[in-house]
Amino acid sequence: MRTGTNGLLLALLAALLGSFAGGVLAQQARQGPKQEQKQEREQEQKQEAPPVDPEAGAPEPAGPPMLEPETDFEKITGRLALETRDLLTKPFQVMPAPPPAVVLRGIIGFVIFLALAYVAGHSRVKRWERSLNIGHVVTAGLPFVILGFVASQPAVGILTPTTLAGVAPLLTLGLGWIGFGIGSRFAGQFYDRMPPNTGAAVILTTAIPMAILMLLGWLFVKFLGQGVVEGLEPRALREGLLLATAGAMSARSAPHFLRAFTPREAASPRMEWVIELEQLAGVFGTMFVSAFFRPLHGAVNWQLPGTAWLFVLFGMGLIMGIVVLATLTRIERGTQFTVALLGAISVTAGMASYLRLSAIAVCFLAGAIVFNLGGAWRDEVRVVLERMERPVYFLFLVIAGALWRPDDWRGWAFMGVFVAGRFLSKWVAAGMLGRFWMRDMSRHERGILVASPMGALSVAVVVQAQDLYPGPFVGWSVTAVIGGSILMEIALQLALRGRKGPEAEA
Amino acid sequence: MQAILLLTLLGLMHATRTFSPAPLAGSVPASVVMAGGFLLLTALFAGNLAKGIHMPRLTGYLMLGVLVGPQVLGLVTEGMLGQLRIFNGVAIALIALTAGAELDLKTMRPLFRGIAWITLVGVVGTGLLLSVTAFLMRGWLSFMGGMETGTALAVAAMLGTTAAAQSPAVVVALRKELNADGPVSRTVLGVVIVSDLVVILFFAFTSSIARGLLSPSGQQAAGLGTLVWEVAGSMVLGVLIGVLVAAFLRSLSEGGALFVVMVGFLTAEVGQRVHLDPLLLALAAGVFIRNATSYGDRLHHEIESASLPVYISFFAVAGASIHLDALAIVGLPAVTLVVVRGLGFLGGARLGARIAGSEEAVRRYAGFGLLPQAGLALALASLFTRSFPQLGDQSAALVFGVVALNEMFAPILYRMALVRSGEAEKLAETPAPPEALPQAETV
Repeated sequence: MRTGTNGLLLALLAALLGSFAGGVLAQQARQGPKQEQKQEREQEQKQEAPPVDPEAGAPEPAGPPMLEPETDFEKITGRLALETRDLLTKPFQVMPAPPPAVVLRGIIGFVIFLALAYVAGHSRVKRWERSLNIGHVVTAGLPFVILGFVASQPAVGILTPTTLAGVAPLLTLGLGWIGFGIGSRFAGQFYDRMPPNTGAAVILTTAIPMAILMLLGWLFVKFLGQGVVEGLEPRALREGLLLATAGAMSARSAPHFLRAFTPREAASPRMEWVIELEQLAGVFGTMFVSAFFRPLHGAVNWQLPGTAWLFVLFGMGLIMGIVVLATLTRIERGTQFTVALLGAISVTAGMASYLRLSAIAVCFLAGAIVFNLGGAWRDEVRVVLERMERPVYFLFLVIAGALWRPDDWRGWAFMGVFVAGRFLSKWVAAGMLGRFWMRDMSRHERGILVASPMGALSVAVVVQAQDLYPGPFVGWSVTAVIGGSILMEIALQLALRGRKGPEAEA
Repeated sequence: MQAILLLTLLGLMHATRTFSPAPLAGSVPASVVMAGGFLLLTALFAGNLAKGIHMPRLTGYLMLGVLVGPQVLGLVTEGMLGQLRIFNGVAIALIALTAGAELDLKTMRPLFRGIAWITLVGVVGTGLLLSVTAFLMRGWLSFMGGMETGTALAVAAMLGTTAAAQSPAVVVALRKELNADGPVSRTVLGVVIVSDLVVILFFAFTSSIARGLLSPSGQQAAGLGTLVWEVAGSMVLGVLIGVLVAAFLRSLSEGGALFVVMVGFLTAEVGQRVHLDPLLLALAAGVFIRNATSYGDRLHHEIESASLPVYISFFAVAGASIHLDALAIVGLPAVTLVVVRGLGFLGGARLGARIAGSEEAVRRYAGFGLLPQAGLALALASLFTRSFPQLGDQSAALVFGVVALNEMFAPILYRMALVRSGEAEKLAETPAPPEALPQAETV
């Protein structure tokens, strides 16, 4: 086995250990001092309804109830069941049916957005963007964020809450599509070509930013989130982990972009490997967050600890991978194949999301199994997956823009912390890598690691978090990640303005 | 293997549903995606299994829907079905667009006489016969029990029209499956396509009258204007849609499939909200593209590559929506309508073919090609139940019951008729002009 593969296995092991550490931390954060909790629970039970942020859309469920023997289980489950029922029925009870003109505007507007996303994802548009050096999804997607934000304003009334509720299934499907697409890139042949020390490099460039960003995010929410909702502690840790997950990754297109400003001989492909493998951090991050931070804990039939949820997640990914593999192998090529692929991704993402697990992670596992064991049709499927990836991201950006609440200053402050923390942590990681593992690393390679803008998967991570954990804190993370992505790319563009590398000149 | 996969998916779905019997807050979109993907995959397997035992695939889709729906296993709930019915509108529009794109007036000219007489005697005659039967059976149908004679006549006419619908999709699919060609299969194809148009027009007409009669009295005056708007407006706007689609197909070489689905979605969703008939809109667009432009085949190809997921969902959701409990109540009227329909089509087609001087094979076997029901009938049944919710579950059960019975048995009969007429496997020997052989949908 090559060194790169060893490194990757180490990275996976580290990620697993990290998950367990995260789980323990999360559990500790939930448990806290027993006496204090008991008092809090008594207070909670006295309250008729949990405090709700009026701007946060659906009310965030109250802190996760404890399931120790001394807990009054029936009262808590009863209260949660009531909350769940309220959450389920509120939109239908409170919101009157919109007039046909509003519905029509929503339908037509959304179809236009879909068409724009499709066109923007077209290969010709992509080439044109690259020629202008704005080939990153986030920069190219900035107009979609703005469009989504504008379209959600009451005066415009295109992306109304009703429309957004109607298109929510597309988000779940899109998350699954992205997860499956990422999984498709991690087939066996991928590891065989991996350069030495890649695994160690990935550990450093993801673990250090994750640790720093998690700490910063946790502290930020802990101090500025006082009084916003109940049960702050686990949420602060969760937001920290989400921020860490989103910030650990870089845009896949970053090496191509930076190479345009780099002499040919200095542009080693190994950084592309590192950045590609960083996507795993995103997948594992969402995996652990969704396994250990369970929304609506207590209102469902399956009462499992976080570690067991992790097993469920892996098991589901494995089983669905085998089912999808068997399906695609048995089905006729042509239109039936398309139906099978669409159905497989839908059912996998839907099941994961139904269990409140990460659709990205489960579909990633299924996709990795399918593409490691699949037949000659793999390349064809990969092309289909990649062709739709950009439109899906653009659609995410429209919806993220529509759900964006930029009037909360704490979101912007969070963005500042996030950008500074990410830059600093990547700089530290690149420095350590150059000193200990890749002594021959060039200045340009270091530049790629430190200055790489964030990728579209980071956006998908926070979009998924909005689905799993609706509430004000995720809104801050959305502002931090989307705003931060754009800010970093613009800063990079400005820094490189006027410099033309060999590719740009060509 | 596909049976094992089907069972595995049923088990996985059941296991997942035990997490929480009803979708949790925030899980509603997930449950819709899960149910949609589950229906797509399992119906695909069921369709292939049905094909393996010489049944049409769509029978498999429908039966699977019945099995997993709320009435039997309950893996797909009413709530999930409600969200998944968004496919109905798209499917209705795509079916009508396909039917319109198959209506090549130039190719069908030699068969016009036979087609016209069979349509008139067989289809229109059977429609009238079915309407009279439904009216006479009103004592058995609780939803027509308290109606005045005029209202009952209008509802009976609508039921008769819906029950008279046929299936170009099944006819084309069986023709392709058997490689059949000859006067029987060609005449049947012509009749079912022309009948589509006739049935759609009759449905629009009768439903407008019924809507006027069933609405509060103040709205009755608007009946004629509504009908004119619904029929004439739909046809004019449909032609405009056809112009747009043709312009897209001429300008761009890729993305046509997605574009056609988008057009179907917009036609269905916008059409019904501005009181236009999505069926007529799409049919007019399809007829225009086939006969006034050179993009008919391209449109057919684009629809074929994009429509299968929509069709499968549509049929599976339709199967899951069948109220078996209500069907038990309306079982006798449904069987009566199926029998009357069968006798009417067989007798009417024979008489029409004799008047037109068609060949003996056409006289004997063409009627069997009119028996299958699928896309259009389900589309009309869906429109019927959506337009007149006040008629209740029993009316929905009746129209879907008639369609379900015809779906299950009629394709088998038409398959036998094609084999006996000697037209099976003729296509390979004497290939027909491409215009007459639209690419069969796998439904």
